[in-house]
Amino acid sequence: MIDLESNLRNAGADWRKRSLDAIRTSEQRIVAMASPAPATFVIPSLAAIVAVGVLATVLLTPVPTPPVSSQKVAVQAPPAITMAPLPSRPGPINPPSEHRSTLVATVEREPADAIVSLERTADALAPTDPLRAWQHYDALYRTCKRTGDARAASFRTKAMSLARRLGDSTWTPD
Amino acid sequence: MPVSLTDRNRLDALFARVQANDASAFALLHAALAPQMMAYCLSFTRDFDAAEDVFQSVMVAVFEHRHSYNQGNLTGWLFTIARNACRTWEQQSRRFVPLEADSEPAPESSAPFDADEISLIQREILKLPAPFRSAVLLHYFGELSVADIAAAEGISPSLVKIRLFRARKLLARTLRSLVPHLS
Repeated sequence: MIDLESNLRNAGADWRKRSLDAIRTSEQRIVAMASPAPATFVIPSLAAIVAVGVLATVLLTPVPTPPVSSQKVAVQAPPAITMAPLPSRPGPINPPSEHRSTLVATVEREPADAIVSLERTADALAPTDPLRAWQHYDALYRTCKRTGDARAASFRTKAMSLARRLGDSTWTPD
Repeated sequence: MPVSLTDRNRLDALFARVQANDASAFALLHAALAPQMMAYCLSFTRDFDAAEDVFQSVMVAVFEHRHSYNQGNLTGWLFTIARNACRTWEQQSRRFVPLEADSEPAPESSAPFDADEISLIQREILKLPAPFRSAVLLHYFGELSVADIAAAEGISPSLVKIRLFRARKLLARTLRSLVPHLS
């Protein structure tokens, strides 16, 4: 004879375990969304170096120019950018060439600080250029996720937050 | 010690830290809300993965609107955000029509019950009508009391009790037909 009440409790406990496991084991744990980037970066770990390498690869990989309709730049002052809805699965980061060269130089000279530097750039871009900021966070998220960097969750949340601001309420980086 | 959603004072204190941009407090809040909010989201989505996505968007909204909360019923405020996120998800999911409405294979009555007991019950819970489903999920998955469910859903505690009672009755009837030895 099986008791319905205890079975309902078991079913609930199983769901709770799954939800907590999902949060623990995936990048979905939200951390440090509001915290500023650390002022100093400790000795670069192997994971950090790999992360920077992957990020540099992402930045150096030629990517197709996005369709014209995805980004329209207004030419009259004050400069403004009108964004179309984000693609459901955005491609890798595609910054303008002059910005890219700066980023690559940063990666080559100061690999340990590259992620921190990129995050600061993205934080600075967020109020005025959410699309580029979103691209930065998305790329940072993917890089950190690949290397198991704990900051992945923070970048994911920021990317999702910006996607909402840009009008796409369903976009997720996964 | 983790903060419970039903522990009002500690939850209020934790949220005050979130409002002050304390990142570690937000991580604690995230962990504290997970079971109850996931239960609530699951009552709408009826799909665990989709519930995770909605829960994630709930947390993003909570963070973005943290300063709009003033003194009051924090649990109610949080569930209002969750309700809105779930309704948005519902509207968006209506754009997609499943190929077959009843594509999910029905459990076989002759299947061994012990091994699949929990998943069978979970599946039957998700098939309950929405008000019953929500009550059962919040009570057994989210471990919310009747009073807390009433606050979250904006209904009276009596109605919560009625829904739980009827949900159990429905489940018992269904499960008895599937599994004869269930009491």
